Amino acid sequence: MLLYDLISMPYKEFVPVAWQKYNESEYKGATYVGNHLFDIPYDIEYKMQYPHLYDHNGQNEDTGIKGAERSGFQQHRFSQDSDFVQEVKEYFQIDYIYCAINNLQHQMMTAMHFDLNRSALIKYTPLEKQKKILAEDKHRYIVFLQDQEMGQIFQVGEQYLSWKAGDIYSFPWYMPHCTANCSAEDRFLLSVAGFVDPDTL
Amino acid sequence: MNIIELSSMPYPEYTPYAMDRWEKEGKPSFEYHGNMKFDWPEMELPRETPFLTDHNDEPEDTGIKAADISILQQAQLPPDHEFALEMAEHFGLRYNYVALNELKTGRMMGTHVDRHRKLVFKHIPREAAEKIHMDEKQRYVVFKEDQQIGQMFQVGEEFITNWKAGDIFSFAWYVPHATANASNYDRHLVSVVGY
Repeated sequence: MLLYDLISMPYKEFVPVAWQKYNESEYKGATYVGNHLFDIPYDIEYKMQYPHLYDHNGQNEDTGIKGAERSGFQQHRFSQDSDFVQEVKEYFQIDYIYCAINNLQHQMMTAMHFDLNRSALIKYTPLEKQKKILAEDKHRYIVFLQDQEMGQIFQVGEQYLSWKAGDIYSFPWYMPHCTANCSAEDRFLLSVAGFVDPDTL
Repeated sequence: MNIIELSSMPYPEYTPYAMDRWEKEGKPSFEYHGNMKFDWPEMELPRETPFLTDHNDEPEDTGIKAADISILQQAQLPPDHEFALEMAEHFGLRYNYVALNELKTGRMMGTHVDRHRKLVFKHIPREAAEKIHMDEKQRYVVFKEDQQIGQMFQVGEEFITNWKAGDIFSFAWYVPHATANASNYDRHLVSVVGY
């Protein structure tokens, strides 16, 4: 299935498609990719985001996710021309990328959901490439930026992740996931979604 | 140390004391105790913010960050309530504190260590409590429904996974734990504590 067709669906229609794929899959977790300590620029600004309330254009969207109004986190989205994005692209060997640091503050959570990552495809991938990318070709990584504190929880499918600073996990487009921070410390991670140029595959 | 002495500590002193013990014991988590059938007593579950108040429902500074958003719906049963007695008999408890907890979707309880002072100061005669060693405490959670993706329960450094309705788990008094409900379904459990 073309990723473009998939993520053009309203979220409420996308969810049953993703559930069906998840239920058919024997794979119900995340893959450990390795460890890499990125040189994170710390002089960056964060904005509070409630991604389950809005679409990729910042317009209201009824995702049907319960608790969406409490699923908020601080986020910095890197501009495409930043040095850091180039470093991340090179590390993961991907051409088109969406890259952000998410700070889940203590006592906050992000409700269980599936990612659309519409910005990665629609905003950051050239138009002529968008309709050549298959759903399974999506690259999705999370990189934890600090050691895990007790009470910091990240669930992917049926798996609860354990992490040290720099640990990288990936999971496919149909994997439900959620996160909660029951600790007293903020939890930072690097969120990456992107694609290899389909004409080079 | 007896349970009166232990539970008399202010929470900011109690927490490091419990954490120190937990580390000395090798950071244990939970034990599985099988499965039981029970009928959930239908009743009102008032909103509680347990990290903001003491056992007399007076304001208390527990030092837990963002204690005001650790909210659950809870019915605390009198020790002679029929369901409390049923649980006490099942677990062999002379003194019980049984609560019905509902963690609504989007809610969490921050990492904490329980004191259960209502049990110690209100449900047990003082002279009996003075003879009970802190390590005699029994602490169980019994889940009402099968786990849904997004329902998380961490005990020590481990997670209770794939729980089924009626599954029983226990942990020691000094084990830190936390829970969050990022699913689309409210999560119910019976909390049983006693001696």
